[in-house]
Amino acid sequence: MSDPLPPRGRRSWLIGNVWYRTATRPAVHFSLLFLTLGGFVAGVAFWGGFNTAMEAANTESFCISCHEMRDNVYRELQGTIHWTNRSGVRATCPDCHTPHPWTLKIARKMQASREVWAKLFGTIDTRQKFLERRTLMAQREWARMTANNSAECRNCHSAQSMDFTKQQPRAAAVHQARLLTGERTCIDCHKGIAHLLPKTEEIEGFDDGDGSPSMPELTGP
Amino acid sequence: MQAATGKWREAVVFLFLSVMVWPVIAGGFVAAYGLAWWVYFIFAGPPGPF
Repeated sequence: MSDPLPPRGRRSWLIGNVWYRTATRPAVHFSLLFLTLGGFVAGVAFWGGFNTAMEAANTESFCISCHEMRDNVYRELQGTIHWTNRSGVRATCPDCHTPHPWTLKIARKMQASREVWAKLFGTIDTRQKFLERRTLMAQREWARMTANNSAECRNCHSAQSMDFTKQQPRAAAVHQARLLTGERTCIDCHKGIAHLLPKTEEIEGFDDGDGSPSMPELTGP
Repeated sequence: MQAATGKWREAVVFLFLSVMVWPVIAGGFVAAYGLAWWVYFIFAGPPGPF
C-alpha cells in the first residue's frame, strides 16, 4: 500500500497526483529482477536505436535526400577523382564533411541543425541561389578543414604512407617541403578537388591570378 | 485512491518512464552536450576542430 495522502489542504497538485505517487514510490507489484531487466532491455534498445539513427543521418543517401545537395554538390562530385578512380575506392559526403570522432560528430550535427532552418526557408533552393551563396559556404568549410588540420582528408590519406617517387616531381617536392613540415595542410592547396570552386575572384588573396589555389613557393626555408 | 496502487497503473508508469521519459532525457543530454561544444567552439575556435 502507498503512503496515505497528506491532509487535503497541504496537498499540491503534483504530490496528490496518482501517477506521480506511483512513479516516486517503490514498486509493489513488480520485482527488482523484472524492473532491472526492463530497464536494461530499454537501455539496449535506446543505445541501438540512437546509433542506428545517427548512422542513418551520416549516409550519402540521407545527404542527397535534399535536392540542394543532390543537384549541386553531389552532381559536381561525379567526375572527380573522389567519385571514380582506378582503385574503386570512393568518398561519400560524410567521409569528408562530418568528423569521425563521436564528440566532434555530435557537435557538427548540432551545428547542422541550422541547415534545417536554411532548408525550411529555401536559402539555397535554386541553382542560382546556391551559386550566389557558394563563396560563403565554401570558405566556411575551408576554414573548418584548415582548423582541424584536414582531419577528414587524413582519415584516408596519410603523409607517412605517401610514396613520393610515384608522385609528379612538383607534387613530391611541395609535399616534402610543406606537408611533411606541417607548414601547410591538405586543404590549403587542394581546394576545389571534389566540387567546383566558387567565384574565387571574390576571395582576396585566393590565387596567383590563375584561378587555382595559391601554391606555396618552393624557395626559402 | 485504491487504483493508484493497481498493478496496471504501475505497469503503465514503468513503460512510460523506460520508453519515453529516460530516452528523451538521454537524447536531450546528448543534444545539450553537442550544443555546449558548438558554443565552446564559437569562443575557442577559429572556427573550431569540427
